[in-house]
Amino acid sequence: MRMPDLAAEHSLAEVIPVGLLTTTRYCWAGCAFCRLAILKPKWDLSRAPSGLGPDHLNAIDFQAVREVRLRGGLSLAEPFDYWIHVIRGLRKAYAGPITAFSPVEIWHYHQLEARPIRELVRLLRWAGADHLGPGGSETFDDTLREQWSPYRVTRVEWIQVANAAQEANLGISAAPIVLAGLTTGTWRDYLALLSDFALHHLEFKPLQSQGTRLSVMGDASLLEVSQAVDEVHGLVPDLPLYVRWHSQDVADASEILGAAGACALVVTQWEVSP
Amino acid sequence: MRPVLIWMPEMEAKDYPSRFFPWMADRFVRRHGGIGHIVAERPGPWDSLEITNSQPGYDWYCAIQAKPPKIPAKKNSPGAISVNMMLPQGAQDPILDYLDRLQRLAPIRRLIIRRPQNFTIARAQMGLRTLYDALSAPIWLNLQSFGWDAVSFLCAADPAFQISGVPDHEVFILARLAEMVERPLVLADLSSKKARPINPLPRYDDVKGAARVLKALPYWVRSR
Ligand code: SF4
Repeated sequence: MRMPDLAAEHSLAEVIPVGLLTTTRYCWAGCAFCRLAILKPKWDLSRAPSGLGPDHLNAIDFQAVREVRLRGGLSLAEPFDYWIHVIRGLRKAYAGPITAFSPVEIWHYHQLEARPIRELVRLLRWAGADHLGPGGSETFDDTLREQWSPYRVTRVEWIQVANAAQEANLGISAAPIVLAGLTTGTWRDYLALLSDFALHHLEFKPLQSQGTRLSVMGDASLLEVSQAVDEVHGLVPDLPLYVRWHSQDVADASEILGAAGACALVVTQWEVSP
Repeated sequence: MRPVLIWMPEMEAKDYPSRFFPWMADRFVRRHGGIGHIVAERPGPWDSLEITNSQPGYDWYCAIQAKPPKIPAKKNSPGAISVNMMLPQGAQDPILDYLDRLQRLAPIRRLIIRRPQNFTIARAQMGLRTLYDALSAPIWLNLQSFGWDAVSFLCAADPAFQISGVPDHEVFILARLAEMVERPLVLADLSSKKARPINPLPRYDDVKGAARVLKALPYWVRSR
């Protein structure tokens, strides 16, 4: 295993505190790696408790974060237009970058409300979102996708939505899951699919398996993440690489991952869930 | 072959009420298949034992806190010495002279190194390498002060290091680390007992067929 050389000249990975807004905790997709959502059947989802409301935005400390992300389960309780107004409200309250939804949600509403993808992403842009989240790009490997998230967007659908978002002037990014056993080949294939996009950044998601169906696989370790960063950095040296970091201890990770080629660690500053 | 990575269950008397300690230490060693290292104040019946108050003929566990303990006279010299110390702040650190004097008294069996709070990993790595070159005693990194992130990085970069103080419920992290750095994992202590190889953790069949996944999900999510 190749280790980055800490003695050489390199910079620390910067720490980016983000605030997370959860639209709803209910979801029907049941992805294997999901720690967020409570599985609920589709036929019952419209009766799920209502999601994030304007009241939730009142007591938030926007000063503490450099980005706000709106994400959550695929609920049927609120229509897409409701969320557009939530984002609109958020835009008034917060001037920094807002990342809202992801191709997964857009595809969900595309099917649910039979509305064109372009219309949905334009509305999102109009409401004030700057970026579309990376959801759905955890893996583009067909076998893995079948095991983990058979009901989420396919690779082709993801690309379709990402294309439309790019046209609508929304920033897009990708967030591959890091776990044991990834090879340079995996990364080459992954990046090849994204080569047509002007990605804002690539954000590694180390597998956090506790409480999910993948719990037997254990969490991804720092060494695995640093290896993945190192490999991707070698393949696309110009792309900004972020790492989603869950543990409170960021100093060591920022040093090692910075040496491996990551430019930022994304950490959760606060999280608001309905 | 790469050097082994050692899982050494350790128990220190200072963490337990002294009346119960002998009984608990017995249980502790038995619980780990007869292998386990005991650090006690006084000599006891354990195979792998170090004592904190130096006595002639016994192995000494020399814990250096703010002030290093007094070095015993040559005629009272202990068997071997384990030193538990903070990583030296630089080449001028007085602790290095102290180590030198210890070394002349008895062989230093291992250095258990704690990480000072202000040390980055790069600085710790450099300090450890200098220390290793100067003393060539095996270096054990104290897990509590370094943390898993730092120890896994340091062990991957330098195959000579060992990790000290891994609690039993975190041995699986050690096992995965051993696999990643391609070092065989063994259960061992400091006695002459044979080290016991620990098999790699089982790999679960994570490439399940789609059909099995579908069955794993409740029926009401099986449609899209
Ligand atoms: S679609 Fe998103 S929220 Fe729903 S289960 Fe999958 S990962 Fe979780």
